Formats: sequence, C-alpha cells, structure tokens
Amino acid sequence: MRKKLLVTAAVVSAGLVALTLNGCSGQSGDDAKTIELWTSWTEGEATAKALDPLIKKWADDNGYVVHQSNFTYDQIHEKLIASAAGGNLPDVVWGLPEYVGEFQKLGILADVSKAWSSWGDAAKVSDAVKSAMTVDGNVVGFPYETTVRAYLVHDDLLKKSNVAVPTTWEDVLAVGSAVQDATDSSFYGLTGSGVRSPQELLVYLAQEGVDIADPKDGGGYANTWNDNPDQLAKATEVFQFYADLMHSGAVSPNSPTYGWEDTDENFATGLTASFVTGNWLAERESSNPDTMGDVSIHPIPYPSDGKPATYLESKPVFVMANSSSLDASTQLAEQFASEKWQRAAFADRSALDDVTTDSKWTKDFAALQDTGVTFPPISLGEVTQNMQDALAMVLQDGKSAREAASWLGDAVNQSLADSGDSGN
Amino acid sequence: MRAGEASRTRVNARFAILAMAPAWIFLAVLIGYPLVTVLVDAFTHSHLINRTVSGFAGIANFEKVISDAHFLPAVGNTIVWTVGSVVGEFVIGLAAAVLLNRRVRGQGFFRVATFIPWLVPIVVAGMTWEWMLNPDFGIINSILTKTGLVAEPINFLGDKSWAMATVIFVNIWRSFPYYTISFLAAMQAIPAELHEAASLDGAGAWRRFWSVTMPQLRSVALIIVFIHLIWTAVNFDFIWVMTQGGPNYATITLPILIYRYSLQQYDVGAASALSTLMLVVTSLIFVVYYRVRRRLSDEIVG
Repeated sequence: MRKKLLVTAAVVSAGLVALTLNGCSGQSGDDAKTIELWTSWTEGEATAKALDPLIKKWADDNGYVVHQSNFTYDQIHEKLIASAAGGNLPDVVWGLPEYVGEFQKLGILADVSKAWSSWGDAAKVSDAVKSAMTVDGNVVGFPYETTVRAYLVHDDLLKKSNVAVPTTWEDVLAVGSAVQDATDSSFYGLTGSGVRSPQELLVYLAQEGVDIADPKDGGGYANTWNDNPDQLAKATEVFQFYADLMHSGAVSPNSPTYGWEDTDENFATGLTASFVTGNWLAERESSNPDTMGDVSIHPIPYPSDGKPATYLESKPVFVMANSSSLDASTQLAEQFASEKWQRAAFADRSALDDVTTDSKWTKDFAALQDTGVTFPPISLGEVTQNMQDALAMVLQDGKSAREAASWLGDAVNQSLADSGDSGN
Repeated sequence: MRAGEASRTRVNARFAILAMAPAWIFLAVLIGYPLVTVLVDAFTHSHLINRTVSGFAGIANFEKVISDAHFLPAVGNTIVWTVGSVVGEFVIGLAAAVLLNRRVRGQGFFRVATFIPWLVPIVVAGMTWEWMLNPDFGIINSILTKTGLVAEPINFLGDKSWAMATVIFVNIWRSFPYYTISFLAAMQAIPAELHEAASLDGAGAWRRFWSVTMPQLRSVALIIVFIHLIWTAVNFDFIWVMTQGGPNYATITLPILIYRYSLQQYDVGAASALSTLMLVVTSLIFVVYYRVRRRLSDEIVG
C-alpha cells in the first residue's frame, strides 16, 4: 500500500514538473509544420468570420497547422515583450504601427523586404503605408488594416447654429461657443488622455511642420525643439491651439480627461457636433441612427500658415525572426495583405488602392491618405506618456503653451536616451 | 526491531518528501524564482528594450525611484487609497453585518443582495462605474442634475479633487461584502446568553454592541483588516481600469508606478527596486499582524 502511495506521489510530482516546464517553453514553432498566429479581432464579428475559413484553407493547401490565438492589442504588446525576454515567441502577429520601433529594437522582427519586392500587390500600396512598415531600411510587416483620421461633422447641428464647416484652426476658434449656445452640443472635440491623445497631438504638430522626434545624422532620434527657436515656436502654437480651444468654449470643459471612448460616444450621440476620428464610426450609423444620419466627412482643420495632415494608422502583420517556419510564416503574413483577403475582410479599411467600397466611410477617408503621418520608429511607451503629460500641463494645470512645449522637448529626449533610441 | 523502525522512518521521510514535492516545485518555480529575480534585478541595470543597459547597479535603481517626481505623490496616494478603502469597508461591512444579523422579513434576500457587489469581477465593476459616473451621459450625473442636487455635472473621475475619493468609494462598494460575510459569521457564533446576561445587567443596545459584540469580533476583524491592508496596497487593476492613475497622476499608486516602469519605460531595474520596497513594507505589515495576532491569542487563551 505504502509502495503504491510512493509511486503515485512520484508520478504526480513528475507530471507536475513536466507540466510546469511545458508551460515555461510553449513555443509551438519547434514543429516546422505548425504556425502560431496571434490576432486581435472580435470573436464572431465580420472580420473573424471572413478570415477564419481563409486561414484554414491556406493551412490545408500548404500542409500547415495554424494555431490562432486572439488577444487585445495591449495584450499582444505586453505578451510579446515578455515573450521576447524569454525567447518564446509566436510566428505571425498582428500589430499596431506604434510597436514597430520597439519590436525592431528587440530584434524579434523578420526582415520581409525580399517578400515585399516580389509581392504582387506591392504597387497598390502608397509610399506612406510602406514607410510605416519600414524601419532601418528593412520592411518588417505587411499592411493588413489601414485607416486615416478625418474631421466628422454633424451637418444638422452646424446648420442649426448657422456655422460653416471650418477648414482652419482659426475658423474653429472663431466659432467658439456658438454651437454650444444654439444646440447644447459642444462644437469641437479633443482627446486629452489615453492612447488617442498623442495621435491627435502628432497630427496637429505635423500640420505646423514639426515632428516629435527627428532622425539624427549619426543615427538615432532626437527632439530638436529646444535647440531650434522656430521649431519651439511652432510647437508652442500647437499647445496654444489646445488652450484656446478650451478658453473659446469650442470644446467641453471635460475634454482634458476624455479618452477615445468618451469622445467617440459623444460624437455618435450628438453631444459633440464635430470631431476628428476614424471610419470605425460607420458602425454607429446602425446603433445610433437618429444622430448619425447627418454626418459628413472632411479634412482635419489645420493652421492657416500650416499644411493638411492626418494620422495614418496602417497596422502591420509581423513575422517573428526566430520562426522555425520563416518562409511559410511570411507567406501567411502576405496573405492578410493580399487582394483576396483584403476584399473579404478589410474592404472598407484596406491599404490596397483598388480595394474599396462606395461608402463615404471608405472613399472620403481614403482621399486623405496622402497627407497621412505616423510616429517615427522609436520606443513609444514613455514618449506618448510624455505627450499626454504635456497636454495635461496646458489643459489641466494651466501652464503656458511654451512651458509645455519646452518641457515636452526635454522629456522626449530623456525618454529616447532611456530607451536607447537617441543613438549615442 | 531497531533496523525495522529505522527503515520505516526512512520510508516515511521519503514519502513525506515526495508528497510535498509538488507544492515545493510550484512554490520554487512560481514564487521563489520570480521573487529572487526581482530582488536581483533591483540591484541590476536591466532594460527590456535597451540592450546597452546592463551590469550591477548598486542602489542606483532605488535612487532613481525615490528621486522620481511621482514617487512621493504615489506613496501618499497609496496610503490614502489603502487606509480610506479599508476604513470605509470596515465601517460599512460591520454596519451591514449588524443589520443583516437581525431577524427581519426577507432576511435571506437582503443577505444575498448584499454580497452581489463582491461577486462582480473587478474589471466589470470598474468599467460599469466609469460609465455610470461619466459627466456627459452617466446615470449618476443625470440623477444629480435632474433632482437639482447639483447645478452642473461632476466629472468624478476626471476632476483631480474628486478622482481619489471616487475610486475609494467604488472600491468600498465592491469590497465591503467580504467584511460583512466575515463579521456576520462571527456574530452568529456569539452565544445568545452573553447578550441576555448583559441585558439583565441593564446594558442598552449600544453598550451591548461595544461590550459584548465587538470584543467577540476582534479576532476576525484583525485578520480581515490586515489582509485587506496588504491586498489594497498592492492592488493594481481597480485603479488602472477606472483612471489609469489619472487625471494627471491624481490617483497614481505604487503598483501603477511599477507597471509604468516595467511596461511603459521598460526599466525592469527600477520596477524591481520599487517592487522590493513594497515587498519590505508589506512584509512589515505582516510582521505587525503576526505580533498583534499572537498577543490577542494569548489574551483569549488567558
């Protein structure tokens, strides 16, 4: 009896050790015929329904087993960074453009330049999109989903207020609280916190002709605002625009802490008359038919002495450099960007110029793609936090626009130094 | 005979080791290894992205953490968040237990209803309250403005002067049932004779509560207060879901600062240094608990 117990305990212990060690490794790519795929789609929604059978068919045709796992983008980001530290990565991963710089520094991205060159649909992709997939001269992803931001307007609310659609910052500020007074809806919208606020700030900076970080001659990146009075003046104008939006009454006094959830909800329900956002608001036409029927799409207002710009969000599907099925993984990644798969799953948000729909949500947004800007390929975690902190200085702490701009320039350089992006 | 006993002892010892092996392995792999790694990283230059950062750091990581402009506010916020939450949970949990301990109609329903907040997952509770408290379309502000209690909606989570009090309130709402269930169980174990004897001696309800009920709750109160001091101090998800430490750092606590070091700045050394500091403090809380608990046990045993 005792012997039996001893054997049982030994077997249980061995099993637990094996389970534990198995949990620590996890790389299914060791099997050359298996591809580990991480996606970020909503289970049961149209994208998933369209892609699921295509992935299965590709796997069958090519003799592979694709293990697909679904995560939020935040989870993918954190899991990949943690997995990279442990050398335990999947093969193909959906990502965001903000991750390009970080993942490249981690050395986990495969160079797919050669595959891009021979890709039949490459000519249908704009230079701006290709540039968003490129770091250190290497193409590191295929664009599976591409959108830009536009200025959405509730025409009825502006008509009721006798206000024309603004094209410049000056027009926006001139309206002030007129729409609020006439309709009880805020005229303009801004996102003061969360992931979207640095994207908005990047666009306004680009409209003034300044970048958050410029490449240096000897390699690396730097913010040059505090070394260049002209740049600092332009950056200051951007922060002054934010301050003026608040003071003029053009935006809600709660805007400084709005995240994207609040701003999109406020626009969809008509609490905000106009707002810069993406074409995902199209789905709100069915959930909010009473308030979304009057929406028109325009370029984002820009300073009269500046230039048009919008945020280009071209999401790359990455191939991991250590994949044991590198060629097949690259083929699978390419499939997501192919015309067939794009038409099936991303027709309203494709980087391919011949994949489109007749909807205003596709055509009017696509028309703005040429003015798209993206973040430089640097580690953005702390830089985007710096950008939010600078906005809080102006919008919440009442600091001057110049103080915020100057502080942000120094803070970004410190973050670049900490992450090793400053070069030397 | 002696040889047989020795052999049996050896077999028993071997069996004990094998039986405990799974627990040891799990403790070593899932707690021991990460803990040692954190302690080592606290004294090491370690960065997830910047490969040029490496080597022994001495106390540089601790210096970086302590000189961080957000460190002292985070310490203050952690104390306010922890003490405010635990005091509120204790008072409301105890009051609810006293009420639920009375014989009233629908007692079962009220007991079940009281525990509902504790059954709601933190993320769900946090997000639901976030939407309910929204200044533009939240139901709370709608009620407050429609009833004339406030002239303008309150930006509960976006206004620095309201944010910390609001997250503490929501945390109390979710956690007080744990106190209630614990106190209620302890109250039901108090012999009815004690209350009867106190009544015969002329003690009123208030006096009976303080002289009979409360002393009997000391033991359970000690356990749940100390457990919650540690749980609340190291809690990350509740504040993260509701404010992410904002607005403008008004609700940043030490666990959120650790997250920012590790997954925004990728500075594992600084994150580990701050984690080590927190480990020391929470260990001290545990030591205090252990000593108080032993004294209380001695008193109870006599």
